[in-house]
Amino acid sequence: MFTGGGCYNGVMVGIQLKNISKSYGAKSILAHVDLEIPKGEFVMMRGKSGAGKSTLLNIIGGIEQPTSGEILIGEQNISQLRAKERAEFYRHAVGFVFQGFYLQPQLTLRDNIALPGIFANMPKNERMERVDVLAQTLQITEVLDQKPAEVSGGQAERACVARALFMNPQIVLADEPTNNLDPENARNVVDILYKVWQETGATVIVASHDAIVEKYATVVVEVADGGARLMRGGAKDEN
Amino acid sequence: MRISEAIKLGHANLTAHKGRSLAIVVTISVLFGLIMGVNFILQGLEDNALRYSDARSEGKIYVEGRYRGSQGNEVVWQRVEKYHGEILGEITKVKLFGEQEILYIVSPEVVEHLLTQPLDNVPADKLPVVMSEDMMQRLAEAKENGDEIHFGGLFDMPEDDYEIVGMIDDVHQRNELGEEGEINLLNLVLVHMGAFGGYEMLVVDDGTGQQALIEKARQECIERAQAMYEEYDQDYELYIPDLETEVKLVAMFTNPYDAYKYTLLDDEKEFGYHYQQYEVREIFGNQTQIIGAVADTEKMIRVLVIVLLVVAVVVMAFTFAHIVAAEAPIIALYRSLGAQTSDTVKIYLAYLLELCVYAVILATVIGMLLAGVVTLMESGALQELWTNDYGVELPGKIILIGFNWKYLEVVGLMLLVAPVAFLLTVDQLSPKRIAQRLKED
Repeated sequence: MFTGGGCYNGVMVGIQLKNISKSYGAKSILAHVDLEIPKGEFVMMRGKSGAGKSTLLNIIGGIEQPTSGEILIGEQNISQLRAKERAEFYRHAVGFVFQGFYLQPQLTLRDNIALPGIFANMPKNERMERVDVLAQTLQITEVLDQKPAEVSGGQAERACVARALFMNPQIVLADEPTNNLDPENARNVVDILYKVWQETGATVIVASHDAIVEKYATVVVEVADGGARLMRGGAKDEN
Repeated sequence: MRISEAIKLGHANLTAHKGRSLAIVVTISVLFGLIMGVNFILQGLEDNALRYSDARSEGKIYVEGRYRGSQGNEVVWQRVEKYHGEILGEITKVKLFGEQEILYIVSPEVVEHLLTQPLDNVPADKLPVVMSEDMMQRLAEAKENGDEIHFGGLFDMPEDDYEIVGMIDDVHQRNELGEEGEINLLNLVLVHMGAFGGYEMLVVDDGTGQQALIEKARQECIERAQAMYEEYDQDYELYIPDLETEVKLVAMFTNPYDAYKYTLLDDEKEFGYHYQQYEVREIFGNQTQIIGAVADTEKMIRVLVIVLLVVAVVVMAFTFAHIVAAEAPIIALYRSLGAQTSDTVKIYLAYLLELCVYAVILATVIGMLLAGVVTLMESGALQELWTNDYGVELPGKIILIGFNWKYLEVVGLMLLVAPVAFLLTVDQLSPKRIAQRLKED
């Protein structure tokens, strides 16, 4: 059973993007995006390669700053926070599952999962307890002390999900989690994310162009031509 | 983020970038290892040379000083006190006939620590003299060859006018001391043969015999001047010189480094003197010269260390910039997991410091190996050389490995390479740069 989906500083999280633009030099990736994602949805962010899905996800996750515009998560206007406050906010509010299930290859799965706790100055015993609970839920207890290269792809994926859930985030972001996976493993990953969504009540946003994700999504965001448009999905009741 | 966690995450970089990390460690440690090796050898040389010199002078360092300025030798008294020395007495330089004809007279208090033949036993009609072993050897050689010898510039000595009182090979036995001899009109008795670095000959006199000696020397000068005057048929003006005397104070130190500082003359402002008018040198030994020679070499090394520091910083900064470029995904990962800039700074600074710590260890090993090799090659020869030079045989092998605070200085500078190189490349860790690199990849 996953725990989490709590609120940070009393904020139950919904996401609003107001007039967000992002460009790299002269190249515009996103232009004047207005988007409101309701809290507690399983969101698929879809679009062609290079459409700006990952960029939009990175902006929501605080990894990249928009060139202009405002981001509100719950009542909190992120754009008005100072760097330190912003880092503190994202640390507790957002969990990130990277494309390719990126783990620090030199650390054990245990240390990888506990990384957010290290950056949050969480005491070691508390971190280890949290790792054990997540590992048990995701069935990776027996490989916790091994390095990523020594475990199977599926175990590494679950370790990535465990890391994203470590701080009990209100929002879980996953960037192309099914890329380069065979259909069975792709389905396993989406199953896990869906289970997380069901059991924590967190807002899960998956950037993907994989049809399997669409089946689970309660909301679909179409990213195209520098813009983003929200559409209601139909999966919530089916699954 | 705790420091221990930063060190752990920093260490992960070492494993991830083995080749580059090794290149940094090896480059820095070889550069500084050579410096450390030279430093170990120099300190080993100093320690051992001082050990021999100290054994020879029985732990005492004698330094003569004289100030020609307006304060006179008062400033010598003050400075000797400052450096924990003790004024023993005087050496009086008596210039008799031009600059070449000089006689040195020393107070008994100065040489009483050295004397191997008691002054009480010296007959009333004899002058006790302290002679260098070099001078003794020259006397012996001159006697054997039938040569004349210039003795302190004062007297020409036809071979029959002096007696050999001891050969260089007998020096350590001391049993030849007390032999009497005559040089020109002076009846001498040898009361000590001194180590090198002093005077060729000193007449030991408490002041009573000095006047008689000087008077005798003056008479000699007058006679010679008159002889010249007569020989050249009074074409030349009769020149009878006035005797001039100069007095140097002799201080004794028990710590060679105190004595060395006293000879440095770097406290002009404190005592209000001018170093050009201050004469100072060690006599009966060379410990201050040994320390000075090592200190001068270390000054040159210090310049080299600064150059090496710059090279090491450039090497580390350049390599680190490449590592950060390759680490962009990891840095982005850390940031996405809540790391602040200060956290990434701690992680990568800890990594660079860890490399520097390994470089310090390796450099120390290289330095020790270098000093060890030089010890193996030169120890025997040095032992033979110093045994002969100092006239003492010391137990144990000469090991040219010595530690001093300059080792810690080099270690400190090596550890400084990390933060300096880091500061030069810190902008590589900025979120903007990392995002840019990720896009480029």
